[in-house]
Amino acid sequence: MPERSVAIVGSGVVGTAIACEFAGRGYRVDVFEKGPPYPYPHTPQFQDRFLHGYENPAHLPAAGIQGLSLTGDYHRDLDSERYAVAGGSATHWGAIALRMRPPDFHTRSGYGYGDDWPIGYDELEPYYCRAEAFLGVSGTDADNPFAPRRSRPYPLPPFELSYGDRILATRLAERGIALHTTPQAATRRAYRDRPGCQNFGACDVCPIGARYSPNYDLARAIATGRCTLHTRTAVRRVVVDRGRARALVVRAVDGMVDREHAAGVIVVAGGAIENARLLLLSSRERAPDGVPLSETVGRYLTFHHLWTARLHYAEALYPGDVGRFTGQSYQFIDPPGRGRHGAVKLEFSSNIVPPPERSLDEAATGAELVEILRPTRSQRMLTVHAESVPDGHRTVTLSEARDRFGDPYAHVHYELADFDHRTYAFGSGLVERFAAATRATGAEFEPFESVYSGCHHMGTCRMGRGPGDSAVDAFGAVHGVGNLFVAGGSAFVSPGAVNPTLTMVALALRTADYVTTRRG
Amino acid sequence: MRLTRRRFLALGFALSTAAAWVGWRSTARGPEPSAEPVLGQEPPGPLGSRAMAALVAAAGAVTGYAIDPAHYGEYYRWRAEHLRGYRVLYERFGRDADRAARELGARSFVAATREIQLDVLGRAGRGGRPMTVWERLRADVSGNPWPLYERFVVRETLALFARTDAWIALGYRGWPGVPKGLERYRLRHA
Repeated sequence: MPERSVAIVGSGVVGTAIACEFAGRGYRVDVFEKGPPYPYPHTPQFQDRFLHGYENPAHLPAAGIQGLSLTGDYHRDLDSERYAVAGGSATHWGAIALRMRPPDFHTRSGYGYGDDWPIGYDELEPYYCRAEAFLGVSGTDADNPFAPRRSRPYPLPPFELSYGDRILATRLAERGIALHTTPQAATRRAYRDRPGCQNFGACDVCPIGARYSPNYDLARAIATGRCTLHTRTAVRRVVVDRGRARALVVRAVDGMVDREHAAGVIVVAGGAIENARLLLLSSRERAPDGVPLSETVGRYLTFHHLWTARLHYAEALYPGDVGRFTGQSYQFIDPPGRGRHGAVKLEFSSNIVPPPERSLDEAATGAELVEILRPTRSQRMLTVHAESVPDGHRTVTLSEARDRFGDPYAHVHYELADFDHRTYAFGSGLVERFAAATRATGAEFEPFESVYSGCHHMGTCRMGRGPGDSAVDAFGAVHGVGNLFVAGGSAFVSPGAVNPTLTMVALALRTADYVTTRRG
Repeated sequence: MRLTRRRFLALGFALSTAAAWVGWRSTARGPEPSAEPVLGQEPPGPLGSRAMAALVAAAGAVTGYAIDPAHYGEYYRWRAEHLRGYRVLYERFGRDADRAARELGARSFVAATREIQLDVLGRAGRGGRPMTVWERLRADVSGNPWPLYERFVVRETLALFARTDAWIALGYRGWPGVPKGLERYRLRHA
């Protein structure tokens, strides 16, 4: 086994960032992905969806590799929130790339809830800069008085507010509320060898690679000749030998035989739910050559909590005229009542307002359809993007149900707490304020029970000071197994209220730095 | 447990009664749960010109807008050539639409007035309502293909219209999937 080799579980944005870092530093890299290959640029997927109205089964995960069970207060399909293909969920992400703010790392000492991270914003800031460069983030802080400090400008200029945004921003400003642009991993101009956005409005299958997709960097890593991507290959467990991770046990999704893949460094980067599942499947309690696990593994699952309002206006604002996210507000991201309830980021973007699902079935002709759709021109979506608190009542354990290899699926139990009710009430009040300030003629806000995670799953292998309070250390190393790392949102101690991907990538780059430089 | 003749008859009577009761209840409550018609599994292939002309004419009729025939034609062509069942369905639709149009006094479906074309397309007679299990069963037994045309021609054409031309009809400068650049979205619509 070559010491300078790394095996990575998961090919999403985190696994990809780590693969690029290691491959760029001369390591032999193997990335294991249980999903199928996923073409990049996503032109074929774009053609399927937008030209042919077709969902290509070749781009969907095989049956029998995703099937978690779910109890508690979360009622959405969690499996559909984890897109198991090469490139992972970030093949479909919105690409909003935001930094957490300094207080988000210290909610226990600052506000009396949650727990403090073992690192702070200042330690992560240089990695935020690198992550922004890695993803190609377009943005500005010039219009955002609540943005955290930065040591380098954004790599690209921002996507400006739309015509409709500016009307609403002016009305909000009259009431003292800031609506500003949204930093995002999409190219406002050409960046490296990615073209500038041309506003196809088909961002989740961007046909030209303007919106960042991990497949772009996976291809770059593979082109070094030092990285191999193993698609349709499931990792069943991690093998530990005398305090060091020795190998991964892997099997082709359609195969019958396991094999061991040895590596000097092993990084688990399969998303918060699968990371916890893999560690639990690898536990020393299940096998003598297993991983000694902290009891915290799987215990602090945390979602962001999203609720969306539909606001109606007298005039046509043409949402969807631009595909990218535009307006948002950080103004309530560190509100005076924080502690009694959570922080909230508001997304008032110029995205398409989905028409009612019944539209097509009700219309017999194009004219009827147009009339059903007409009100959406004058509607805007306002999303309350809220913080939640990891409290031990949201867990990932092993399910009774088993996958095609006979391994238990993940079981997720997710309870909502009084804190979340109070945050919802706070958000509901903000929706009313926004509606009044922007002279909305009507507003409908989703009920509390319809909470959506935004596909932001975090906290299941949180970082901390020791096995008593955490699964991994401040660099992502599993306590007691120095060459086994967990990367991504699963290492978060608390989620803040901003989209997590930029922080996940920043942490991944920091882990790669630690392994390749400090650790030697 | 051994099933005696007497027990067998009693069980049969009980099951028949239960089935009749369930049937009566479902009738009394109204339509059965909906069921979508199922497309055949015939291999894909090139689409004939007669079928293509009928499909494009159907698109013009059902949308009611001056559509670009190439845009809709490409959509039908791709489905016929790549997805199982579509080519055979489309060919059959072309023939049946022509026959139905002639019954209504037109020379062909393509040459018919929009009124006649809509009359032909409305033969499923459900106004967009999903098929009930009973309707599906009846269609299967009778070989009536119009529910299939409704689902895989009319509804899919309206879906294509909804994600493309409907945006233009609503005053947008392009539909999702068409590059629009990053300047005009900041300007007032005409």
